[in-house]
Amino acid sequence: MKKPLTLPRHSRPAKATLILACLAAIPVAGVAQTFVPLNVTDKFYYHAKRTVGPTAILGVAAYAAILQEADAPQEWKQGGAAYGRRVGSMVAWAGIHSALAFGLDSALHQDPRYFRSSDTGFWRRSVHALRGTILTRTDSGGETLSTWRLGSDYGSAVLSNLWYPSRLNTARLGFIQGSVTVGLDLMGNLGAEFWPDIKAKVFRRK
Amino acid sequence: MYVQNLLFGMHISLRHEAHGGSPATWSNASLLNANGGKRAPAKLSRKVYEAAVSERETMIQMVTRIIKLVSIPVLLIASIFARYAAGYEFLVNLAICLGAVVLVQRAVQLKRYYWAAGFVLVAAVFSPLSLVVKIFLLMGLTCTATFVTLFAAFRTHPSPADQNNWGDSNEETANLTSA
Repeated sequence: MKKPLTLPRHSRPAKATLILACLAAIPVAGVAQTFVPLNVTDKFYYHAKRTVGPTAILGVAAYAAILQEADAPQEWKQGGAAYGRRVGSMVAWAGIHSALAFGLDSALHQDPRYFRSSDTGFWRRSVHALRGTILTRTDSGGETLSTWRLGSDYGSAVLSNLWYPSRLNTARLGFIQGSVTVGLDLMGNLGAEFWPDIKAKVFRRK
Repeated sequence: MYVQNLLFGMHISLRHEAHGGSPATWSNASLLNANGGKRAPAKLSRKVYEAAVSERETMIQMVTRIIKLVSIPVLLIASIFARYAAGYEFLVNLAICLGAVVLVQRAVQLKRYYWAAGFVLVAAVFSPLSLVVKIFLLMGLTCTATFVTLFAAFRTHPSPADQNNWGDSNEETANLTSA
């Protein structure tokens, strides 16, 4: 996700969409625990699901609504056409992001999934989620720097600035947006780590 | 010539490059001939300098846009065929790392320091080093970047009145020609 440059105070619908966007950021596949390496087709489906799956589309629509509410970028103004443009921009960004992620993890033998911690305790599990953001498993079972994540987050942020107004089409903002995306990935991993427990406690089901 | 400049360095003004890009050194250099003696000064005002800088900025932005436009379809197509590169993991890493090193050099030449920092990070991430070395390298680079940013932010800047004393060398020119 990108461009939360200056968010004004949110109205109630905007807060609801923000919560929806955060929920959509939680990768469903993070619940999978046993390590069986994915082949190229599995990786393709994994990224396709994260791009055009129902939760992904919901997340894109919600995030576009937040951008619309925040009037970011201002040059795109308000209205139905402007919302469509923001949704289109987000879809294009998601497409570039997934293409880069798939290309990198299939070429470099990296596993894009998040694996939950077997430890107990809030801090240990939070550190594991942070570790899962920076590092990733390889297809052979080892661990390496998550180049697929860093490359796709920063690469898509820099490339998708292309259709934004010139004042936003800078390397600095691309870097900031890429960092925000990594931060949202961390939030997604934290969600994948703790969401099953929350669900079990709140909804009394496994 | 335009295309040549576009491709091989995006240098609007050779004079500007040759004299280090500083307007002060630029106007001073124009007042000296090859033997270091005085000669009739070229009339370089601040407006000319600003126009050249603006043109240079526009050209760099245009080139960046073109590269981004081209790279999106190229990356999309490359991702489809990425599975065929799976057997050459080391070479893929090395190619990306070397490409980033070349781009760091170009970015520094063009004084695009944000781009340069970004490409340094790309080179570090894709370098064929061990995981521990990479992590420490990235931490070191992050600390350095933070220090440089803070240093730039808290550095004292000349007041606008001082900045007006460069570039417009009419008074200096008049003194030299009268001498």
